[in-house]
Amino acid sequence: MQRLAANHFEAIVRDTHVHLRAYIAGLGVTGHDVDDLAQDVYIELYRNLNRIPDDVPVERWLKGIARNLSMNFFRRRARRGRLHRQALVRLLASSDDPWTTADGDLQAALEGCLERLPAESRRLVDLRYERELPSADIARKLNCSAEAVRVSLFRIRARLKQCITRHLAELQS
Amino acid sequence: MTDFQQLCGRFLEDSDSLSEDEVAALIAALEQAPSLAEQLRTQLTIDELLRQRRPSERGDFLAQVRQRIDDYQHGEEELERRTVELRQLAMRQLGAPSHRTRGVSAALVLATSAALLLAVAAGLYWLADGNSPSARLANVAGIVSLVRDGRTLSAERLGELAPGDTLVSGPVGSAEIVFDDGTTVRLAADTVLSLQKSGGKHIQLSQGELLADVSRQARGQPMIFRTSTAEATVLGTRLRLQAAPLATALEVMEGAVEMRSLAADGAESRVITEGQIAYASQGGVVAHSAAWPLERQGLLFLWPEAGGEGLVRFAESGAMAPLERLSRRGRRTGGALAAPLKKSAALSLEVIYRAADADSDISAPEPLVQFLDERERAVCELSQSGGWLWWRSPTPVGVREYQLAPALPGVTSHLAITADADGWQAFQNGQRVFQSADRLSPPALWPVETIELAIHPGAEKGRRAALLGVAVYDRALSADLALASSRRMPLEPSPAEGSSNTPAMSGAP
Repeated sequence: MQRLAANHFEAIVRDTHVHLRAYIAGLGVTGHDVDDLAQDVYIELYRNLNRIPDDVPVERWLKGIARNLSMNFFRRRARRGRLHRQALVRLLASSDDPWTTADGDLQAALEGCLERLPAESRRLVDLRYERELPSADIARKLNCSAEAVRVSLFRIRARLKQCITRHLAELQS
Repeated sequence: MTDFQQLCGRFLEDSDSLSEDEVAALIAALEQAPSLAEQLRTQLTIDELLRQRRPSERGDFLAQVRQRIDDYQHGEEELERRTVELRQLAMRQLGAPSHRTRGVSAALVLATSAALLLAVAAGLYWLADGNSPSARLANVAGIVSLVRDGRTLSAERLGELAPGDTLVSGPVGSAEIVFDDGTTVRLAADTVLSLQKSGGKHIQLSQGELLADVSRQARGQPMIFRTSTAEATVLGTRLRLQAAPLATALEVMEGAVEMRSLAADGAESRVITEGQIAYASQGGVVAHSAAWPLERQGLLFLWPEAGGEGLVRFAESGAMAPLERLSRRGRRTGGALAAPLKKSAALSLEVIYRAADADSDISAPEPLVQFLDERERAVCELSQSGGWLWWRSPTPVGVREYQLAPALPGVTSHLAITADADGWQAFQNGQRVFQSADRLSPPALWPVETIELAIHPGAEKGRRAALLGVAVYDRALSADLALASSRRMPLEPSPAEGSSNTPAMSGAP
């Protein structure tokens, strides 16, 4: 059994929270619920520090707990959409996790890829994620439709994914 | 843009904006083409990574995890301490001789230092067979232990109970004992209760509280509840009994009960009627109408108000207080009502509400009580959403939202929140439902000196949850007081919904 000291716990949180939160979001949990669920996962880790089998990597254990808690989260929700959301989690969880890498590498890759974006795309990312503007407001600023903003963001995210994957592959090689 | 991309884009921006049909269409698309599931997952993952880059997100998460771990440790220690205390009490109880056996004469009863005799006014009779009644355990929630023959067992997997069994509920535990005649006895949290080996339905309440719904009993063999200072004999009624070292409290929800204190010579009996609460101690029996709030010290705001001995009686307040009633103190803001509150070091809030009924579809938050700054932005908020009550409040590490307690559909509940610099607690219908060591003192963290309190009584168009009462204090109520007050319920439902003689207490879990 792994005997992890309490201060080791903090190190695990520091090293894994970026990826874990992204993993939870990838299961269809949105907004502040992502952080709440991630915190719940770490509470479970704290409670079970000494019970994680040696042959199970902590990251994998965390993801397993995150998947279960996400299912429970949607189970507890109001009846409206509960079954659909549970089905969505199952479908998303059955697809491949985009990356299994250290938080530091992932963040570095993301920053590098953002820098390589064209200026227009970068501006769109800033408006959406730095200034937290909804698509409708961005559309008004850019004199286009909200649908056009959404499709642009969709493509930018897809492009970032390819770039990050390539970047991480280069790092590993 | 394909339909899939459009749905993805809207899902990422606001997942609740998709209709049920649209979510179903999205799921159907993912089922048909697994590559689309991968695309959506990628979009969601990148979206979250970009969100985490926000300056406001950096560093906050680690602080929040530390805070949650602190809360967890605090809660675990408290839970362990109180469970140990209760088990010790139960073991002492098992070691002590039984106070009395069935069939004891009235003279012996009179000889006890303090006793409570209850008899339902109606002449009800029972079928005496002399055998121990069959009883089983049901609806176990939280930590409940069973002490049998000196061994402590988890009550969750147990069915049949045996004479001599002792049940111990932890700080968040509860369970029901169901007798073969339909009589039910519900243990509240922090309660120690034993089934006596005396042949009938004899229950020893050593500590805590029980809620009993007693079926009609056969003549000569009433159900008997004992505390360390009192004895309650019941032929058929609904009651709540609480044991304390020097007194016993009785609340009658159905029927009429004669209560007699024998602590002092010549004490007269009193008939406690439905909707009353009575306390028996060495000073005799005192009865009140079940009303709220229990405490008025530090009371800043009370809605609805009503005259008469400083009590708020919902039964007298018409349709749960006309909105104009508040206008003497506050002002109307849109559909809500508001009143100014000063900054202070501590805060307590009591809210009585009826959650939306089961047929209502609440997924968007419906605010019940809000504390607004000068720009009418909610600094703190109590709301109902997704079948839960939520409390949003500033903390030293930023604004946090807490999932407080279930909003049971169609059920009237009383929530009491008490907060000071050492943390905060919430109680619902006589049970603690939330405890946090967050350094949360909402008034101290308010950004301005005076803040507006806004309440949403439920009269606004389209609202489904109904607010029935609000009390705000500029001090932290003690945990005991908040717990006790959270048991208070309106005596009758709103006349607007059709009058009924069934007390709202019947809806309490």
